[in-house]
Amino acid sequence: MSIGSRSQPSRRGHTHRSRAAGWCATAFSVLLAGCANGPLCEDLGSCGGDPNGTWVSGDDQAPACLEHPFYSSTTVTAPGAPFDSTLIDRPSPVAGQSQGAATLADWCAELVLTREKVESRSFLFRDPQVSNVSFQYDAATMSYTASIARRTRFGQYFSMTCLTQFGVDPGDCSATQAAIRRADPDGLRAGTASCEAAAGGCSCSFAAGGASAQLSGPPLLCKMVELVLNTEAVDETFQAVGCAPNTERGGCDCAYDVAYPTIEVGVYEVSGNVITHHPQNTNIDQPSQATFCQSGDSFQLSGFDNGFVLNKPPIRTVRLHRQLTTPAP
Amino acid sequence: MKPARIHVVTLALGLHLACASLGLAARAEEQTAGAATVKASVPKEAERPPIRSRWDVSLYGFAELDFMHDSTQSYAESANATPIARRGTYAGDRAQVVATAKNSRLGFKVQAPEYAHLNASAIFELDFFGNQPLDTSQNDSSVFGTVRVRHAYFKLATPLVDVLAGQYHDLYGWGGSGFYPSSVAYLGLPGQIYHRNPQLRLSKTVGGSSLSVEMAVAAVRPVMRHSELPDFQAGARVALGGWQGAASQGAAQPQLVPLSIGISAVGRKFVIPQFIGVPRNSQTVYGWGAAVNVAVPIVPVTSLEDRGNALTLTAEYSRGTGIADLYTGTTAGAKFPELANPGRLQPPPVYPQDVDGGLVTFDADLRAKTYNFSGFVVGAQYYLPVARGRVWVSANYGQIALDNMLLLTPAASWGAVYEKARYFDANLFVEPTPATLVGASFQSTTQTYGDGAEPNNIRVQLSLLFFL
Repeated sequence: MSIGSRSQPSRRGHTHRSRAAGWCATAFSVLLAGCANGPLCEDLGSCGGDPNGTWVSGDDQAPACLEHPFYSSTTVTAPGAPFDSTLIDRPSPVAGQSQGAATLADWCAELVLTREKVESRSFLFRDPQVSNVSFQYDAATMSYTASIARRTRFGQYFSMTCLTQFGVDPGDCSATQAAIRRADPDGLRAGTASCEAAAGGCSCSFAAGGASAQLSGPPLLCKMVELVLNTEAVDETFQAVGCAPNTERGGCDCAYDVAYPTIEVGVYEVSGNVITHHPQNTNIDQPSQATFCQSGDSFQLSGFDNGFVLNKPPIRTVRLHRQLTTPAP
Repeated sequence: MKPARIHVVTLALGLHLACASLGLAARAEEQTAGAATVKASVPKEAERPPIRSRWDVSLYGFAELDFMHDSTQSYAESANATPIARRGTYAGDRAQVVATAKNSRLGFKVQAPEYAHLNASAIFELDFFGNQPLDTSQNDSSVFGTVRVRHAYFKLATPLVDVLAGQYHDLYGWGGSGFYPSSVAYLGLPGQIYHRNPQLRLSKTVGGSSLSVEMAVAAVRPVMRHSELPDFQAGARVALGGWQGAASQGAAQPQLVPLSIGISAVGRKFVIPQFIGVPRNSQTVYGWGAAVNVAVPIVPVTSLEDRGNALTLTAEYSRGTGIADLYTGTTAGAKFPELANPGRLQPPPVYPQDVDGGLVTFDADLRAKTYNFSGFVVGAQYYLPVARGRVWVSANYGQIALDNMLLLTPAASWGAVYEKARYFDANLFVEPTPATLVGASFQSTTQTYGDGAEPNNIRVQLSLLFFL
């Protein structure tokens, strides 16, 4: 085909172009077939209104929609801001050098359990759900108080290696009895435990559910761990440790409650359907915006521009209702 | 403007620019070729010495352009079994378009004359998926494809035994023997053995053209250098040459493949440092795998000239442990656990990992363990009875199960690893000319993470190939 014939296409050329256009249209259709998922938490209503009042979450539904409520491969999180424990304290990377391979969590959750005490522990958890939310707006002072409580019960497996690598010996009867009595000095959880050497190792008598029970072997070890952790390792965030033997893998399956509140106070301003929060403590909290919709006794907040409520990931939206005050008698 | 409209406009603009660029490039090449012709006019054509090779050399390969739209931002070019970004994350909620020519391929086959009943030949095959620095820009990553060795081996066929020395498909899974599925997607599909390795392979084929049996053993690059021991692979393949069908291997021109079944196995050794920051001892574990492959021409053909109505099934099942590297991109997010730091040392101790991820790790009692793996891929390809079978469709389903993944992963990290994956694709191929191929594909991958999340990626791919 000559250059001239290209510049002045024949009718046949038109047909070829029409076919090509058809191919292109088909290609476009095919390419567009797989659409993006879009946001997991869609914005709630944004009708504006009057936020004045106290708004609380209901008991019958999850008050908040959370995005990425999980832990990534290298993120092990404690209350507050997420952090990457595998990178903590590491030297700054040198240009051109790898910082080392990312890792998963630590098997033992940094548990250092000696014969005498719990030297250290770092309870791990993931996926805490929002259990309670309240927003209180005072139009007279233009101040607000926001409270968000998150809660989960997380299971953590402690292998025999984790439990015994720093000196704990399940067969050492006197040490076991001492640990139990140290962990439960008033005998409130296990009674006055007494241990004696037996054929299978050590056997201890406990108070359990109003009656006495005899524990030995793995159940005894796990009970001791439970008592020790409940006494020496819990705090206002981690509580109610319960441990039971894992019959297949050895060691203990422990579980604990993780609960922590977030409280933010400050002043707010309203512009149309956007409410701006100016927190008092700017060392911890940052100003944030949210769209809202107050309709009767319903109040909905959505992080502005696909952001997070109060700038606290992963809370994208909250759905609240007016707290009805009981009239004074 | 709605996101979908933005997609349309962006893609339209992108393709328009791509077409314009291609046009400009073509013109530039024409001009360059013209200039070269002028320069080459001295000396004259007849006076130029011909380029010769000592042996017969043939060139093969293809130029390929791939356009891919993903419903998440999980991948670069290859999808394979790469972990998918989850819902609720930026990458998991947003889409992307990838365009690349890096899957283009160039190969040379060199055949020496027979010498004392010995036939020697060699293959050199390259593509452009070579490693690039981590800080490479998107532009450089897509445009400056680094050359990568796919195959570099020679074969010596003797009356006694055939020898293959160099880098070639692994014997495990009988790669390159007609068992691959037909798909526009980059191989390997999730669950499919797809790997190349430096190896020394001995094989012997007995029988004739109607029925042949090939047996082979190979010493292969060790999965980790520090194991001191090559991987061992072995296999047997039975083929009924009188019962052939049309089969496209990946996105390639169809070839005639016989009804065949292959079995294969791999064994390997891991010697890894004990799980402390400054190890003095090592732990040893072993990995193994076994695979069965079949290619079944349900509706056979005798010639590729007219393959209309041909129907061929391919299937592969495999299982083993410590073998995830033989399935492209299948680490499933597995990594070593964090090294305990009870003394709060600064900097904290770092495990001196000396093996690739996803193969072996330490369990809760810090004993070395390998990750179990099982997978299968089944596929069918049907050549429509139009244009002598130059239009065909195919569909494939693949599945992966890693049954001890969660046992080998601390619970706090279950959200980072997947233990199952399912894959499905549907493909349409058209050969406008004998030298060109257009493929369109719908690919869906779903992974089940340890915490129950099931992210899904939909990839729609358009590929255009010109075969040398």
